[in-house]
Amino acid sequence: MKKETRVTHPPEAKLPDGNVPVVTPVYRSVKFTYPTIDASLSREAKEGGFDYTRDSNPTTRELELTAAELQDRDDAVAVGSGMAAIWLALLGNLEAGHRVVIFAESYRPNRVAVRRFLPKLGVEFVMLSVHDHEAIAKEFADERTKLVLFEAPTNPMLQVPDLEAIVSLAKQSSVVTVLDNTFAGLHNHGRYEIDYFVHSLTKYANGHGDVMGGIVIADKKRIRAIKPLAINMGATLDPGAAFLIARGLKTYFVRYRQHSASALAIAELLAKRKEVARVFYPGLASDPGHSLARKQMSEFGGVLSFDLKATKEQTWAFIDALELFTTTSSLGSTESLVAPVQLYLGSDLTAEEQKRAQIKDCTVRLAVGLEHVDDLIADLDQALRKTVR
Amino acid sequence: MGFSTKQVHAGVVPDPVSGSILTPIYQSTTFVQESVDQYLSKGFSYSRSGNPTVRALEQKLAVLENGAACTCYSTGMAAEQAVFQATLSAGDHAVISDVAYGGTYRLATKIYSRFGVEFTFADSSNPDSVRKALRDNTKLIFTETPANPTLKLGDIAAISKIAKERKIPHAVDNTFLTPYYQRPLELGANISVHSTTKYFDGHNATVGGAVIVDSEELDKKMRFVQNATGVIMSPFVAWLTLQGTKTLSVRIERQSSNAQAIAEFLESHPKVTQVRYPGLESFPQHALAKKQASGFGAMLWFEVQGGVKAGKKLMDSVKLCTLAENLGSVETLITHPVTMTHADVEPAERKRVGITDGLVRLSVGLEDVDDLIADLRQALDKI
Repeated sequence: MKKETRVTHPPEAKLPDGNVPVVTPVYRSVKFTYPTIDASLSREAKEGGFDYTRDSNPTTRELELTAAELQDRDDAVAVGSGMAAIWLALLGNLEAGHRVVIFAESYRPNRVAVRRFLPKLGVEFVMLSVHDHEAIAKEFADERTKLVLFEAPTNPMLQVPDLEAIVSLAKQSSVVTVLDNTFAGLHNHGRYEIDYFVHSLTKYANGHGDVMGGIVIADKKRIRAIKPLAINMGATLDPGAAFLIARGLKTYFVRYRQHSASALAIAELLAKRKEVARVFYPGLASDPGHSLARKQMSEFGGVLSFDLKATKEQTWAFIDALELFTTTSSLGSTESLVAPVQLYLGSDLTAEEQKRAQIKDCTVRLAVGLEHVDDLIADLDQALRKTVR
Repeated sequence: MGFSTKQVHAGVVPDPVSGSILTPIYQSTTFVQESVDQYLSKGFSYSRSGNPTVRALEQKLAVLENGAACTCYSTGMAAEQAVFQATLSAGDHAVISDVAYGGTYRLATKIYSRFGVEFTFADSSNPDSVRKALRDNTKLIFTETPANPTLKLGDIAAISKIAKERKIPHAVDNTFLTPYYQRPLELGANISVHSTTKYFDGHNATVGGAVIVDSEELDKKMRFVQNATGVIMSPFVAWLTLQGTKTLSVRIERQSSNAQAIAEFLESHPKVTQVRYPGLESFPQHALAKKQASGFGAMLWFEVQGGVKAGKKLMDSVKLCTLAENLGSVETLITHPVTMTHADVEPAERKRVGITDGLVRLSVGLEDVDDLIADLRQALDKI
């Protein structure tokens, strides 16, 4: 063999039988091959084999199976971002003429997908409040309604939907339930009969703010129904990203519990401050969603919002005065982040819709990180003293 | 500035903080804002909406295609999907090349048709049949040249002229030739689509896609789709693709000259009944290939005597050529569509897209050409 050929067909560093890496390697290879055509056509190859990384990849597959198990389901499809996962769950279950129910108390990009894109594809929507069960029941009963997209708790206002009630209404009318479960995490809500769970893996799953990813989790039958679309859409998660997320998952529980404990401590402190009008955090005993959240979740997550007794200018000054909380969107990573809610997460809503979603120009969202909680509290304290009087 | 200079330097400026000559891999998902009212003053907020490493690749590819701007995606299919999404709505119609890649065909017939978009698959080797397929509600012409796997060509300039008369975009899948050999936007097309998985990466190490457009207006639409649907390229993939692109011209030149030599060898072999390679004098559209591209690429197909059985025997006998369906990488890959990629496709449909029983597709790699010819010769001898 000439050297020009050798470099593209390098000698194999063969592992002796039983000598295996402890951690699954990053399979960067785009293609997977078989020694013969017959082998490539075998049942094993067809059912669990790997061919092309856009379709499936061993590194990504391990992540899919882990995430599915955490969410109490048996299959999943990982994609390049949380929004790609939302998009996959929507397109996989809809066609022109269908109608979707969404809620004013939801994540802005989720609303944008439904309000700006779906009508272009002939799919209508109706936007309700997640607490308005009467309106939800009425819309579900309309035979055009095929799917509901919701969050628990909602981003950014931490409203807690009654999962049992919504699932039961949806089942009565054969409406597909798609729950963006990013805030609650992979380990919560699995016992409810949700059809499709969607997560932004960018957040708690990876947890280090260094990789984007998304996943749709469901039972095998439902995943089988949307997998061809995922392959055709090509919204593939990069195996390098899958590796980082799988690594992140190893510290998932310790991180999620610490995020939640620190968020609760901060929420309790803020609730006592005279500069604060209201705190939105389901972990607070005084929160209207508390008893429902306690029934549904094991912890309450690392995100909370609050209204300052302040003007918009004072609110922005408060955010700018924070030193440990970085001003930016995203959440669920080791660093604490802060966002002006109206500007970053509510600007697509009309004044009336903002009111329904409880978003004000003095609303602030905190994504509590893993810094020492005393340092975070001291930072909030100095910024409040400096800017809100 | 020459292409190979641009392929090394375009889009990449040394990192202002460290002086690193390569763009760093910005893994960060989120970007700090200096203050609330200076939101987005540095151009980045969240990696789904824009990432500096991905942006460097987008700028490089825009320069190489001589376009206004570029957006990158998780795969070539995601790029194509984004073009559909940016240009088509319920009630619209699109004309697509009848020899388009199977993924394109499925995207149209299995997904977009569910959302009220209609499609006509027209013979893109004949501009008149593209013109005849137009309707009042046609909003996009999508072609692929050379087509996969038939290598049928479409006249980019002629089809672009038709699109221009109707003020609708003409998108060309330029994956097979890359901007090194063919630049659709210079020939009048509005959108050039790529699977960067192929020649841009070139090493079989990433999947990715790109859309290069000729106007800021189109780019704005693409960027909206990229952000809203989140079918984004990861920064690490962008970085590998940036590095791969720096050797694009040397790789594809050698791969193409290997392909030319192999095509000539196969044409003279008694067990081969037909060879199709745009660089062969015998190629039916050889003149068009020479007119619109500066090279012929590294994809070819040939027909072996003895149909399915002979094709399969050849597959199982090759040693250097790897049985796998990707293309454009340093490894030579060989496929027998009838038993592999198109095994599930109805015979009539296979015939329509030009896939015969003995057809073998070759993506010629960077190995020594004598080794490749020797491998094919020994395998052909076994038939």
